[in-house]
Amino acid sequence: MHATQLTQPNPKFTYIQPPSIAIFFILMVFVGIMEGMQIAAFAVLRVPEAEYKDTHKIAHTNCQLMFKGDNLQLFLVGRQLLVTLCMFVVAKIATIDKDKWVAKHPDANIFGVSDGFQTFIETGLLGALVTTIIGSLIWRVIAGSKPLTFMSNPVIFVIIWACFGFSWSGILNFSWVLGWIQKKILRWERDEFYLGEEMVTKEKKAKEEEGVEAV
Amino acid sequence: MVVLCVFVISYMGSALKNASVFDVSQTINDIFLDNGIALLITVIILGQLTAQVNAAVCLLDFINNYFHLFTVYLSLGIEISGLLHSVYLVNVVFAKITGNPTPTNEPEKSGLTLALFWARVVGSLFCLSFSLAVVVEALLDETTKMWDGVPAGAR
Repeated sequence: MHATQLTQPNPKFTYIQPPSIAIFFILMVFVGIMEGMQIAAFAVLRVPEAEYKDTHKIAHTNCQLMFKGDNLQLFLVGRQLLVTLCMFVVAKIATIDKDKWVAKHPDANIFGVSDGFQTFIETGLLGALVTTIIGSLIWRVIAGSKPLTFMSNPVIFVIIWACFGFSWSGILNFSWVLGWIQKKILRWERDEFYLGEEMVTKEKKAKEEEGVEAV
Repeated sequence: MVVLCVFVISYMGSALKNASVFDVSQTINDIFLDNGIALLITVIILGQLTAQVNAAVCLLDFINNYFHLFTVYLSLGIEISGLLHSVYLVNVVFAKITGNPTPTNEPEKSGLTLALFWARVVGSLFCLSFSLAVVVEALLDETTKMWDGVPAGAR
């Protein structure tokens, strides 16, 4: 493959091809909401309920649903599956297929880059950069800054139930068995073993309020 | 780093077209191999949830090893490199719009530190713009690994 600039007029910009681009950006938004809602939910936990119960009713409903009983654990497990699923799909659709590219442009690299850089691009790592910033970090910043507004999104209610659904399906339950085996092999002890029951409870409560990820 | 690992695993572990294992039906192969469901479940169970199940209750033992220290330094290295610094720009802009600055323990940046910070932001923006341009160009050109038939009849 020769590194020559694509100089021919490109007819593809004369009309819009919605599906592939739309799927890509919808997945970005979906991943972003799931990344941000965890941050936002824990941030809302620190706000007294009376302060937002009447002004942010959707946020209140979402938080009530998420933190009721064992729902948080169900949500986190389901969220893990959904986020990873979306990232796999994004990784697939944002990576250049070498065969397709060579078939269409046998003598050209994208934007006229060198052959070495074209090979690097074909690994899909640029897609990882885009996903990290646009699909994850930006949403976390917004969620941390305006948690109540973020949690007032009705889509979050649907996502929470979707997460519950994936958890209830039991498709990931074998991880509990593997976790038990890993713990036995590595001889890991619960924190209570080192710190005492009272100290751990106090610390965990404080960390949950700070929004630390925990299953 | 998590996103990077997922992308690398996807790149390395994706099945070739028309791959077949265990002599199971083509439908099963299509679902689990072609669509990557098998890889997805493997990554989540082995690579994510098993560790999280233990990390939630055995925090001290979980981080009491040199690999954890290595990952901390690697993460800090990625942050220092400035590759993701465009997020700070979003943070600054969002704080200006909402009038709600993010609380931080860091001292206010000035002089060379401030110049370096904004240089990294610009560098990160350039990388992000180029990456986005490559992805969008490839998507419009239908040369990504997007499933055949999407977009249907657009061209």
